[in-house]
Amino acid sequence: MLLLAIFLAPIAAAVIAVLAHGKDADQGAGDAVHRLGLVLSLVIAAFATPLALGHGGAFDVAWFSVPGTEAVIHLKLGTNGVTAWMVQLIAWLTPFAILGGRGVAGGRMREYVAAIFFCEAMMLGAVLARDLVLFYVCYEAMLIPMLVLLAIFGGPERRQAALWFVLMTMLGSVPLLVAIWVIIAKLGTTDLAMAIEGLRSGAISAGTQNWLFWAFALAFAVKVPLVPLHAWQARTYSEVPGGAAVLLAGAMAKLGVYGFLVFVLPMFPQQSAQHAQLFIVLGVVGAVGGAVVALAQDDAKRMLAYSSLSHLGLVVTGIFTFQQAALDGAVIQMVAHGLSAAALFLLVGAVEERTRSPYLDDHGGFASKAPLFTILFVISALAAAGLPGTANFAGEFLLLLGAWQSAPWIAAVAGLSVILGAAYLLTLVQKWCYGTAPEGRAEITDLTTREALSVVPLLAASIWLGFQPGVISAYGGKSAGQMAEPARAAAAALKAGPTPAAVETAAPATAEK
Amino acid sequence: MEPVALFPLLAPILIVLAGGLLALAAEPFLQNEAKHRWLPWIVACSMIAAAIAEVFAPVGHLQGMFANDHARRWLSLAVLGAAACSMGGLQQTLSRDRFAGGESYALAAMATVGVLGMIASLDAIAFFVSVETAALAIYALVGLRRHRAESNEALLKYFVMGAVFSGIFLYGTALMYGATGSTRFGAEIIAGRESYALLGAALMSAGLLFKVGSVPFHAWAPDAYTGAPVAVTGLMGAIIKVGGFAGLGALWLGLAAGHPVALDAAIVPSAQARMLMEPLQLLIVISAILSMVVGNFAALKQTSVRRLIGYSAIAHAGYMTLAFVLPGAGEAIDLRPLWLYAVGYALATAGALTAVAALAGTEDAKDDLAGLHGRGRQAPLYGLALTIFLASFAGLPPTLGFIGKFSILQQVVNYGGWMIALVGLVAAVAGAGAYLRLVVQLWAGSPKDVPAVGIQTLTRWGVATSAVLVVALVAWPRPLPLGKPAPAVQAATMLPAAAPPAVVK
Repeated sequence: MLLLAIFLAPIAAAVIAVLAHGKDADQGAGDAVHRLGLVLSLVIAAFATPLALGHGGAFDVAWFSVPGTEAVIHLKLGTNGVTAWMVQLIAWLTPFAILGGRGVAGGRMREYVAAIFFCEAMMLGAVLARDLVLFYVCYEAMLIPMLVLLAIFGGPERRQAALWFVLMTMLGSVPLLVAIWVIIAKLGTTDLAMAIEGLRSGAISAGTQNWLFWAFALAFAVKVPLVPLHAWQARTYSEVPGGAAVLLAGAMAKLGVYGFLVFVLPMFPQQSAQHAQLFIVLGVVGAVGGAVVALAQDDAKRMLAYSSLSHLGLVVTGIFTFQQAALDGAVIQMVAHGLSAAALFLLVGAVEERTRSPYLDDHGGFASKAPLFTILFVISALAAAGLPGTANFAGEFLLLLGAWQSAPWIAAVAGLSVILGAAYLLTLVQKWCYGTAPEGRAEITDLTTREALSVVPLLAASIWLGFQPGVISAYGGKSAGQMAEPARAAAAALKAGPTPAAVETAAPATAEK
Repeated sequence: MEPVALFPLLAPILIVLAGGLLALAAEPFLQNEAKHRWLPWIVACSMIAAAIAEVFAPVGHLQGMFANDHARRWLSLAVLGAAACSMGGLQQTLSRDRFAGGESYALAAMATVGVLGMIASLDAIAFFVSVETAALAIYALVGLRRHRAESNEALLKYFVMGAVFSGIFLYGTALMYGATGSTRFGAEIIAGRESYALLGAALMSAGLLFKVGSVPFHAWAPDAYTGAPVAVTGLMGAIIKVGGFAGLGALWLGLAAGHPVALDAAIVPSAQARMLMEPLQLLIVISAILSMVVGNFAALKQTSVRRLIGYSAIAHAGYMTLAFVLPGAGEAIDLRPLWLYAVGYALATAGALTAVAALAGTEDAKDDLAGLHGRGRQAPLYGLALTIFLASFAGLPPTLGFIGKFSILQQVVNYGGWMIALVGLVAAVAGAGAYLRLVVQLWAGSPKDVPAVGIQTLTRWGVATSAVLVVALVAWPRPLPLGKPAPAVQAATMLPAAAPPAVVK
């Protein structure tokens, strides 16, 4: 029941926000909705916290049946370590998304808060879902509020950005839906655990399984995004308003990684092991390439977009090494990157709100004009760059360690992304905080208390988790390890060559085909 | 299916008919303003009363001519809901335009009566009479703006082509009668006359595919949709298509069973029936694929919302037609995904176009993308509802449109047609691009100038109710026709067919 409450509470909050009375153009009403949204989101986050301690149980009720098959689609929710930490990330980032939205939303706070809550509900539904159709429903439905947020509050190129974002993500999900239908048709179930069992039992031929694997992988690769599929990312991130970027970059992008961990690896261990090299290479290309491209950006939001590409590329690389250290690191980095990216987007958003310009060359000398901003900005940048003492360090260190255990070259090449990461983030800090403001630019004012308060807890959490990464890895890393176990075994079998045992297990699959 | 008495079975139809006649009788005694104030309420209330009667209407058949079952009940409820919602749009449009005369409301009621008859028909003749009742009323509504050239063009195109395809349908019925000795949807084919039956069924299908606007019988749809007032477009798009598919479904299941059946029955076709249905399936599936591709991609280029919905209606006809893909030998035909889709489609279409009608201003001048710029902000109820309806058209969860597409395409994959499903989905993404462009336009910026609005209460309630239903029925879909299929009707419980004509040697 706790899980159902966590899933439904944001929907209820969205409805409350819509019904909140008063002319929304008037300042007082906007503030009231803002405060209401903040309180509700904090309450939801507080209710979600016990999940991280292993509470939650499960929820399962029949939803509807598909004509023509035995399959009954269930409203089935469940949790494990990775889910629990994703829930923490989503639930705790939402208050900051609402805080960060007060400036951009202006007189349209009602729409903003409602869209953010609906988005939160769908993201929570997607991570809690243990039924393929329920997952798909939430995974697609989260696009609508994000589209509305982009369309109402986005930058000047928002229409293009919105269409790129939604259409690329939808195109990625098309094969996923067909794959779910094939699973329903062949296995007669949409339950995740039963689908995993059915796929292992060999009820679906190896060729079809291969095809299903690619369908699932494509959907998640677009969301992460992995390298050839990243065209939407920089466009979208540079147009999305600061507050919504907290959810988009901080949480939504992680759902792709989450999909690889919770769906792809357990459902298709054999195929994951076979194609692990490819995903490692794509991840490394994303990690290093993203960092190089970020170095060349003159727009801070685009830089952060490519920085996300780089960091999440590293996470995907780590996952596909199947090493326990890398999996611990992946879960830690998902949370850590969520926190640091959210902080950076909020701060860049604050600058953009004041000056209407996110460009690197348009600003300078913040250190003397806006000391509070500078302090927080430097800490966020260092956290994102993986300074020891922040959660990002723990995450990246473990990811690279796992990569090294798998093959030293991966760690050696991927390590470049960490160095480059420090380079572009420090360039950004140097340009904006030091030197002098360019001619003809208005002086910047320092952060307000509200803005500072919306960043400090994120950084505090990042530092706390930097010293206590075991909090995440003990539960989250363990679950990730369990889910990757079959894939690890399959990879080991592949590496060992066709041993008699492997041939024996492979035989039924080929015979069935 | 048991024989039942006339009154409870046809009560919904009779109630709407009475409402329409009452509106017609009251019309001359009212001032122009009062006409637009009261007449739509009379008709809408009769539709709501009819919906209540439909809930309590018994399952059974009347003289083998009309019938009611769970699927028909849902389709009728969807049609009544969509029509009642459209009455709001019509009221707003006509009062805003200061239209002289209130017969339009009675015409809308007659169109609804016709469509309810189409849904209930078990017999091609009963069906044909119902089709014409609906079509004549709709023709008049399409040409409501007599002074506008595009209205006249739409009317002429729709009327002439409609007449031709009515003839084709009738010719098919005649051939079917020759082949079976019965005009029922589904009858034993007299040995040696299979080819007449095939030709007859093909012509009947072509007539019905015209009614639902499938490619290549779609040429009228975009023009008729654009020429009609937005509110009429909503009514026509929502209800005529449901009626047409009910007829196609009754024909198809009747062919499979050899006798008339409930629309939610699962029928295993005999080998002989499959011989007849396989060539027909080819016609229908090709039409479905073409419709999905043409409709969705053409929708991408449209700027007028009516035209966009016109092409989108073609695309939706394609998805619905996919329900007629035959399962493997020995497996049962189950059309319930189609009924599910139709319910969602009717509610969303009527709701969306009623909302657009409310936003479009005098003479619907602002129904294009530029005219709707920022209107979501200015009219949040319509904006939010329109977003939900468009998401439903795009097949995005959590809307009925998603469940409909999901069920239909899932069934196609189940029958081995995953390539068709993939084509359908890719086309759906293109369609989604068209709808999302409109959503973005709706929420971006602030409106430049806000046109006049008419009387709003009915419109608001209609749009809000449809929007809530489109989402709420997904959260709780149990009442929808999704459970176990209805037991097939035993031929013995039907009235005996008329004596077959003597076989000519």
